[in-house]
Amino acid sequence: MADKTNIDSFLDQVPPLNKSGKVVGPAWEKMEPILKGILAQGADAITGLIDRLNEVDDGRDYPARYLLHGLAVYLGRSDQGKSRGVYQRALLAALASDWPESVREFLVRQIQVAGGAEAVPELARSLGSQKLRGPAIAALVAIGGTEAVGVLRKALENGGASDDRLALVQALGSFGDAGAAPALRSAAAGDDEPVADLALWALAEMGDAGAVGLAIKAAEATGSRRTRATDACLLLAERLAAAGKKEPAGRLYRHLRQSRTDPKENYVREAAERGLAAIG
Amino acid sequence: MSKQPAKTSRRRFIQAAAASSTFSIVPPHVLGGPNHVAPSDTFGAALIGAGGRGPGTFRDLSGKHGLNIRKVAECDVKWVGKCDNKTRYTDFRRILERKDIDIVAIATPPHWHALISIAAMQAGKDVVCEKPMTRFIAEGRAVVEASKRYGRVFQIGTYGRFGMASKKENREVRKIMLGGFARGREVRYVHRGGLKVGMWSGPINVAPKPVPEWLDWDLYCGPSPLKPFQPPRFGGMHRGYWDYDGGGLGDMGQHKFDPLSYLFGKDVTAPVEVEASAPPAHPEATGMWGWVKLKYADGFELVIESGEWGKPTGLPSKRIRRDDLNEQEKQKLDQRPDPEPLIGFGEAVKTRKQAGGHAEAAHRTVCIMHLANLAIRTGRKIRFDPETEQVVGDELANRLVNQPMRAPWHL
Repeated sequence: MADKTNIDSFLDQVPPLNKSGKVVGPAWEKMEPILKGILAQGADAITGLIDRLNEVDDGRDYPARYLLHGLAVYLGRSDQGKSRGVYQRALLAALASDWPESVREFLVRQIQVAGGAEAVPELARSLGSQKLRGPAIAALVAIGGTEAVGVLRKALENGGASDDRLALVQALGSFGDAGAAPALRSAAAGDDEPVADLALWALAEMGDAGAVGLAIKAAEATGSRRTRATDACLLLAERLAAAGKKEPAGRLYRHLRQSRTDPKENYVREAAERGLAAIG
Repeated sequence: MSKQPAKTSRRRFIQAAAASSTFSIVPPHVLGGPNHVAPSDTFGAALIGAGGRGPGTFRDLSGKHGLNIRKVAECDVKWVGKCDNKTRYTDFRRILERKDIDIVAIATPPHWHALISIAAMQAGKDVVCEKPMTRFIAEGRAVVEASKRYGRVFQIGTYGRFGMASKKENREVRKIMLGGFARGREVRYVHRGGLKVGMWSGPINVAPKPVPEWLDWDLYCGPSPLKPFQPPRFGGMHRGYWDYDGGGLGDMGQHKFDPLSYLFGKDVTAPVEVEASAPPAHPEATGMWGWVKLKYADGFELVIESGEWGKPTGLPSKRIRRDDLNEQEKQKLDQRPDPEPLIGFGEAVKTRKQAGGHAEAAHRTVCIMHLANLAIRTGRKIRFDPETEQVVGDELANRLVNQPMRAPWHL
């Protein structure tokens, strides 16, 4: 059981900031015994460090933040799997409690560094907070795996505000989750332009052959939407070609070659011609 | 981070597509004709990121690069309420929509470099981008792919390799290294100091303040997490926070290591092992470190010593020269082609050839800093695959390599 004195002894070993307010040490070799000492005392010591976090990050709680982040990074070592679980559970318990959102945001960012599948349900609950949503999505993307993808996909299917959907579409695009394709196609065909543009990119990123028609239609837009849709067409064509799907890739390239007749769009037509040459 | 495994095959596809004509064609607008400009004509240009180094970067277009430039517009997030949206903007996207701009000079903080470079090339512009090229590794690969996909010229804002390439003895070292003659020999370069490590470590005892009314803080943060406004995060000291840069190593590394990448023939590869001596990193601010050792697959070792923390390695540099080779190796060396001359940005824009500080070379150089910072942050030896550009056998370290971007921004 870690009491207040134990926690102080760990915090006291962290060197003060220099006169410019900057971190100066200690070396990893000196830090490691401190971290091992914390871990030897189990979840209570980690919770004790979390108790020292202030709502505002202005440097006054620097030793606690430094040690908690140091633990997150240290526990990435291959021989630290068991301790990583203890650390993660302590953070998740705090995340589920009534700590201020700014403190919970810090904890989510440490879960992004060291968390695993066990963190997914609590991160899913964090999606309901406007302040925590972005960091929670970033943590889910970092953790990856079917559980994390499933949470993101379900959240997108449940709808929500435009900004929320943007973040979910972006995350699903980075996963390349084929299971999300129906929801993304629906978003790409919708009236919310930022969401539609991002969904088209996500479909292109995953090489979704079912999105070829959507991409060609979107590429008729003007202004910056035309540029983004053009890039989605080229990205999708590259993905399809790399997967051996020459016919839909060729359809995209041919459309761009035929439609980009303005001299200012020569570079797009040339890109399409290079793509066509590459697929033969 | 869990990313699609198909990236490498797509990369190969892009390379195949680009190999046929990118950077070797002369497009119609260079040859003249209706609605096109001839090489001697004036190029419309814009500056994105007008503070700090920005004006100098823009002046280089007509100075160092010898282009006839017509300044069309400039852009900065600190001009809220001061823009006419004709010549001055806060949002770079409005600048990229303009058809009268052929070239953009980018001098924002580094967390924006990749996204703006990519968006500019998607819009058909050629790019000069200030160093460091990127904030993390996947960004650089995406810039390389955009440059190839659209056949646009990219030049990083550092030029030391041009001086390096001007000397015959340096070109010979490059030829020796590219010929694989370092294998089985001890070849090492030790770089000491000049990286402003203490200067560009971020202070953390700073209270958040209200966002100034002249600053678009949300757009400034862009793909990085939206954090409370702390004054040092904006305007120079941004270099000291992981959200925007990689400390003095990130700031100065591209200048220091780009000539070395050229000299030692590392423009198309990356280190395979990296270890460092440093304190554990703070979650927000970059900090001190002593040394980093980066080893390449051919055995070449780059050692970087900060001279500002801890003890030096004591390792000496060990060069390789023609005289170190045996007669058989010399014969093989003589059969190899000499390094191709480097082409400046101005000539590259006019001829549609690849600039000397092109995206792949710039990316491989900035990877040195990213991998060094990764070893500094994790405190453990990093094994890296230069082909997949992923850390091998350390999933949690990979999470620090490529960090998720804040929506709606994406690569």
